[in-house]
Amino acid sequence: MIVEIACIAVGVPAGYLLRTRPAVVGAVDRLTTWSIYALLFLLGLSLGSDDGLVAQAGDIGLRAVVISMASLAGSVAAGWLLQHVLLRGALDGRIAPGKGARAAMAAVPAGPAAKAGEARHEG
Amino acid sequence: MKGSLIILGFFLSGVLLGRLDIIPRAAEAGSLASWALYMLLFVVGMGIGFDTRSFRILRELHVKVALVPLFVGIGTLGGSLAAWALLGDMPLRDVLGVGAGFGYYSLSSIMITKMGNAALGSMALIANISRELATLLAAPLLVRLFGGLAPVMAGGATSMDTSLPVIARFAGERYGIIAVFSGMVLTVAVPILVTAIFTWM
Repeated sequence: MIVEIACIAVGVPAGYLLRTRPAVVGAVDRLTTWSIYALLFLLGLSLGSDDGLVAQAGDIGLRAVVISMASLAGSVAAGWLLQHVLLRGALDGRIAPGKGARAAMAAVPAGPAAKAGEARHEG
Repeated sequence: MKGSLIILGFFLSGVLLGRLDIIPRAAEAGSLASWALYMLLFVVGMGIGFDTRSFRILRELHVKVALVPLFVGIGTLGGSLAAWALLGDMPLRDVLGVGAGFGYYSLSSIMITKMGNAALGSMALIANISRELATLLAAPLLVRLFGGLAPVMAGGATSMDTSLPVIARFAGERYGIIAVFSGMVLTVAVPILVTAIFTWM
């Protein structure tokens, strides 16, 4: 499985070097989208053509939901522990709204709650 | 959301065509899927390289932010262990692999299909899509009950893009910054963790 990791490891620096070329970025975007479509279509195809798997579909879906909801709940619990027990809420206070962070968030739509949050965390 | 539906559409039309048995079996040849996966991993790597936001965020924020994705990992591991105990008859490796998608359904389901099997890959697809969906729907409730960090934790790898708007809206802009960082770290972690789980467990 070293090949899988190598594919990504080669891709990251290549992407970093080519990040200012819109043509490359656009092509990579489309390639990613369409290879995902193709591979998931193939996954559906192998599932659909296997009668045994089709019979298990309900069971597969139920297990999937159990795993995802348990993972989500576990993550939220871990986050609560991190913020309220380990850091005692310090995660909010230490974040300085500097220029770089602003720039990083340029693409994020700020709703009314975002403004309220800013006020709450001031000082 | 729209992206998830299109992906689900491709998956379901694959299932349908597979049912109808009109596509020759050669079409699902393993080597084609292998090369497509390698190419996907390469372009995913390039996509990560394009995005320099996480370096900027690390420079701006306190280093404690790095604990956020770590704790998403720990919480997901704990939750997966609980699910494994609850389900009773699944190999631990399979449950951990499905959980380690952190909501990144496209890549994790494709990799798990290749390293495990189609049933497990489909389970990973459904599990990780439902993690994303639950984050989008429950974000306001999570913020109210557990604070602004909760939807970031719930979103996992999706907190950098698909669930970012709801996080920024309901938890505030500063949690949005944490969300971008955490999501990027987890996005990189997904292929590495999935590979590690299926290679060594």
